[in-house]
Amino acid sequence: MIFIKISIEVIDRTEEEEIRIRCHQVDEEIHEIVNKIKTETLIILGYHEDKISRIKISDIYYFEAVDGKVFAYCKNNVHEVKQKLYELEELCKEKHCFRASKSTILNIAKISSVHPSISGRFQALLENGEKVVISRQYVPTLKQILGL
Amino acid sequence: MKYSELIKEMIRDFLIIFASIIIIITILRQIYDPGASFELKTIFIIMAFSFLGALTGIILYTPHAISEYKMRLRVILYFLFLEVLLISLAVLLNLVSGTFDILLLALEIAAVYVIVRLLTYKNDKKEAQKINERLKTFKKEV
Repeated sequence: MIFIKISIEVIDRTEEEEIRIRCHQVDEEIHEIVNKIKTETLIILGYHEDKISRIKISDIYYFEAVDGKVFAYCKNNVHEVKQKLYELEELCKEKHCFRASKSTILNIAKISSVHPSISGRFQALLENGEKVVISRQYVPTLKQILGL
Repeated sequence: MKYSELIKEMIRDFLIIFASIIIIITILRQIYDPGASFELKTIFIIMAFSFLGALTGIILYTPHAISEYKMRLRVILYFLFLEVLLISLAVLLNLVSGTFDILLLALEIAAVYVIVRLLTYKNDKKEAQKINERLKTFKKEV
């Protein structure tokens, strides 16, 4: 068994935070760690009743565009975000998120299960019990991300 | 989907419907009635109905996400529109005459529609099962 040394250095607030990986070789495992760190650390600003919050992408269940505004739905709360849906789609492409319909972007990591509906669409049951529609045209994207 | 994309999709649907009907009629005529004439008026009728058929896509088009209940209502509306369209085409081409024939055709269309819907649903269930299995593995990896 090989133990990896982990060092944490507390820096001054004026300096930029960073994670540095020192390794012998950049292999698949390193890429996985980098992806995981990127997913965990990607933060966007959410606005809710004059309050601005930093929200981790990994905490967001889905984004929805309603009447020209975009909202981020977390487990128990909703925040308005200033980015457009297509900008979020680009931003979250590698963070397990995908376009599920014309007005939603869904975090795959928060999907409990997927079910078909008799109207010809699919529904995703999320971990918080919410149901979100997945349009037929976006199902191949989901399958592709899942490696199907 | 933008309106320009919807129009492109409708034009593509119109061409596919029109081409499919002409190909099928040509082959069936060749097999069963090679001597029968093909009037220009018939081609125009088929063209007009292909266009109307493509227009039905508007019923299922929604610029914003809608609830499952509203979507089901739209599917029913789409089916009724399709029934009216196909029966009108059959009457215009003198393929059916009389109430009994029309009712029989309406039932046949309904049966085909229900079968297609059920088969699609069954196939979707299989797809969903595959996705759910993969989701479990995916979550363990994340």
